[in-house]
Order: sequence, then C-alpha cells, then structure tokens
Amino acid sequence: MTYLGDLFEIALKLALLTFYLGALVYALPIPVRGLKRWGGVLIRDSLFSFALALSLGALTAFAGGLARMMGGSWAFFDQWLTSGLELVLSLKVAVSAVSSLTSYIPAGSALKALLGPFNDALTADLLFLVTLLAMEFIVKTAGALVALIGLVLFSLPFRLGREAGAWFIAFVLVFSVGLQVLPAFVSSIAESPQVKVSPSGANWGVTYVTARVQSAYGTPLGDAVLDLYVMKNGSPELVAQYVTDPQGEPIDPYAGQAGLVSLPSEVPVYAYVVDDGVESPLEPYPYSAANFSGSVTFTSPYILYSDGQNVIAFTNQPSLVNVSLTSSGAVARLNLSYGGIFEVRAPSNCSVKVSSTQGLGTSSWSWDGINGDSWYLLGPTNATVQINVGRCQQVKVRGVNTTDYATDFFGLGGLSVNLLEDFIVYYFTVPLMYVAVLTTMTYALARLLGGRRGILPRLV
Amino acid sequence: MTIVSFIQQVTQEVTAAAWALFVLTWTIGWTLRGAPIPLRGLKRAGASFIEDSIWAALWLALGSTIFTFIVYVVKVVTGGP
Repeated sequence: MTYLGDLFEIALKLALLTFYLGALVYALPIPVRGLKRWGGVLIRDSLFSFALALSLGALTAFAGGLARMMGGSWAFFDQWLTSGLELVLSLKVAVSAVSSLTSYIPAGSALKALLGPFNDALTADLLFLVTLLAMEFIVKTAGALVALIGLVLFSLPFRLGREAGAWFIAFVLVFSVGLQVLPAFVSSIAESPQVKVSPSGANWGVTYVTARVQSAYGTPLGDAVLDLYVMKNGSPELVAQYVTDPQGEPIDPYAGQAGLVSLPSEVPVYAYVVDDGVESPLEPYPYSAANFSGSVTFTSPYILYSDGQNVIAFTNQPSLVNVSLTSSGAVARLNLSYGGIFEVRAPSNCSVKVSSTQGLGTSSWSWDGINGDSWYLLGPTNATVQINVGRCQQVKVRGVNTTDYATDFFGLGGLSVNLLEDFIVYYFTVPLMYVAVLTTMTYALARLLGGRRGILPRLV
Repeated sequence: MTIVSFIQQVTQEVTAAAWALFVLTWTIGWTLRGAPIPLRGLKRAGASFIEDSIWAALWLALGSTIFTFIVYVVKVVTGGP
C-alpha cells in the first residue's frame, strides 16, 4: 500500500506549501486588502488540512466503531443485499414466466399490461441494489484510497479542490457507517410479521467467521455439536448450534462456505462442544468476534484426543496427562491425582483397542442415538494408555437441530420471504429513502469539513 | 522528480521568497514611515507594511516550529525513521 502512504505524504506537503504561501501573501508589499485576506485564509486552510490529515485514521476507526455500535457489519449488509438480489431476480424470472404464458390464458393481454409496470419496478430495484453493491465495493475496498484522494484535493492551495475533497472524505465516512447499518435500520423501521430481527440479536450484532473445533492436541473434533451461548441478564442463552464435520469445521447450512458460521459480533460468546455425551468448554473462553480477524480455532482443554469420528479421550486433569499422537491413535501418559479421571469413548461400531499398564474400568454410554463403550482410569494412578483406532463405520449426529445464528436467532431468514410487500418495503422504498438521507448527510458533512457548496445537488 | 519532491522544492522556494519579501516589506515600511513627506496616508501605509511583515515573519517562524514538532510527534507515534 505504498501509494496510500505517498498520497498521505503529498497531502501533508501540500498543506505545508499552502501555509508558506499564506505567509508569503502576508509578506507581500502590496497594500490590497482583498489580496492580504488570502494570507489568513491560506494559513487557516493549511492548519485545518493538517489536522484533518492527522485525524483521518481516527475518524475512520471511529466510523467503524460507530457502525458496530449501531448493530451493523459488512457481513450483515452482504447477507441483506444477497437476499434482496435473490428475491428480485426470482421475482423477475417469475414475472417473465407469467408474461410468456399470457397468450395461453384468457384475458392474458390485460394481465400482461398489469405485469409491465411491476417488471419495470423490479428492474429499477435491481439497478438500485446493484448500485448499493458498487457503493459497498467503493467504500469497503477502495475507501482508504478515495479518502486519501479527497485529502490531497482538500489540501490543494487556494481552495482549488477543497469542495471535491470534502465530499470524497464525507462520502467514505458517511457511507461506511450508513451501508453497514442499513439492514438494521430497515428491519427496525419497516416492521413486518414475516420479517423480524430478534431484539437481543439487534444489540448483539451478527458476523461470519471461519471456525474449527479441535482437541487439546490439535486433532479435529468431528461429528460433535458446537453450542454457542451469550450471557443475557446473568444467565446463558443458547444462540446457535452447529454440527461439525470430520475436519472439525462446523456446518452452517445457510452459509455458502464450509466452516463459515454466523455468530454475535458485539458480545462475548461462550462456546461448548458436546461429543459422545461429553461436554467441554472451548477456548478462547469467552470468544469476542471483535478481537479476532475472521477465523477462530476453538480448542477444548479437556478433550485431549479425537479421531474426528467420535473416538475421544478426555480427562478432568489435563495438566497431569501427556498425550503423543501415533499413526493409528495416541499414547497417553497419566499421573492422575485424587479425583482425577481419564476416559476413552468410542462408538460400538468402531474397532478400537485400548490397553493400559494399569487395569482399565469399562462401561458403556449412549448419546443422541449413538451407543458406545468406554474405558477409564481413576486417580490417583500412574499409567500409560495406548489407543489404537481401527476401522470406523461413520455415525452421524442425528437428534440435533442446527440453529443458525443469523437465520434462526437473529432473524435474517425472515428477510427472504417471497412477498411483494416485503420486497417493496425492505428492498426498495425504505433503502432508497435511507440512501437519500445518507447523501444529504454526506452533503452536510462535506459542508462542515469546508466545502462552501456541495458538488452534487441536494437530493432531499 | 517525484510529486513529493517537486512540492517540497516549491515549498522551499516559497519559504525563501517569503523571508525575502518580509525583509523587503519591512524595509519599505520603515522607509515610508521615516520619509520626510508629511502625508498621513503614506505614513499609515508604512505602518501597515511593517505590521504585515511582522505577522508574516511570526507565521513563518511559528509555522516552521509547529510543523517540525508535528512531524516529530508523528515519527515518535508511528515509530518511523
């Protein structure tokens, strides 16, 4: 990103040049008041440009924080926009299909006349939504570049590009907040029985991260259940539940990518994994999406080993057990104290051989329709346990209903309801008015930053 | 020559010109004030020249100090060379 640094430096140098030009105008031995006034103006402008250049990073960070504070995120906006585009496209296909059938039905031409304006509205909405997509690209991907070009224009001497520069900067700042908050705004203003965002969810926000669940020694916890809790009024509330695949990646049926799951963006999330009836908290505990960049590896400190398919070894004294992985399983060296337990669980359709230097207790377990055997040692004991995993018939967790946070809890699922009213309210009228308001705010901020007149006409 | 170095060069030349103009304006100002011509308007113009030149010198000196300080702070904060 050298060119961004160059632009920043150019802006600073131009501000400096403006300052010295101001001093030069002051020093001119020409007693013309109009000319002399430029001296003060240039010096003031240069100081303001300097202040703006130095605080631009802080302003951008503040804008990002403000958007999150208001319950918005780019993932939320993307989800909303994708749902809108899908809805509009499917409606257009339906309208086209009905239009092509009008010659076969009675009063078809009258129907066709009715469909015409509706099709035009759909086209307009499609253009509007694609414009929003383009705006998102400009603000999200090229936002820093546009803001810095604005800063360079802003710093030009004699106010040559001040208005344009102020508009560029104001556009990036206002739309980077406004677009992220748009879905939350639309969902709160235009209430509909079908389209509801959970009140808690609106405060907790929504984001998408790539997640992986693993044991303490890095093996994937597959065919397990990942539960995500949020503390609400002092008690935990289950907000999402996902089943993991053999690679330990949670499966979100509504996300387009393996391992990508939705979860709250604004509050700490307490993650737990349940495998073979054994529940364990997952580190980081709690997990805050704001502190991580797009991906997280949840690690269970108590489940020490897993083959990815329901054969697990766990203990309640992880610091007293040392596990080394082998090609066919694992070897655990235990030095358990009082109250300690080390247990290996495997489904009964797995050929697993567990041997130990001490006598192993055996038992059986049942979880979610899966039956299995377990081998355990109780503390205090000092032993070496060898686990050899042979062939396993794959078992699937069946009794767990996946709860997708964004769709089921937050309420984004409701946004894709195929209803005309929803379409008009959610994807056209309110967003259009909202964008018009954002444009007015951009205009106002540009004026505040120093543009005397906006370079775009007032929209509202 | 890059844009940055060009702007920097122009700035240096403008600064030098501004200092020279300060000296010129100040001298013209005192010349007018000290001239044995009893015209009030001329004397006032001389005083105005002196005042303007002093302001220009103040801004030049103050500006150099402030900008050097800002650059120093930025370098300290960003850890630059």
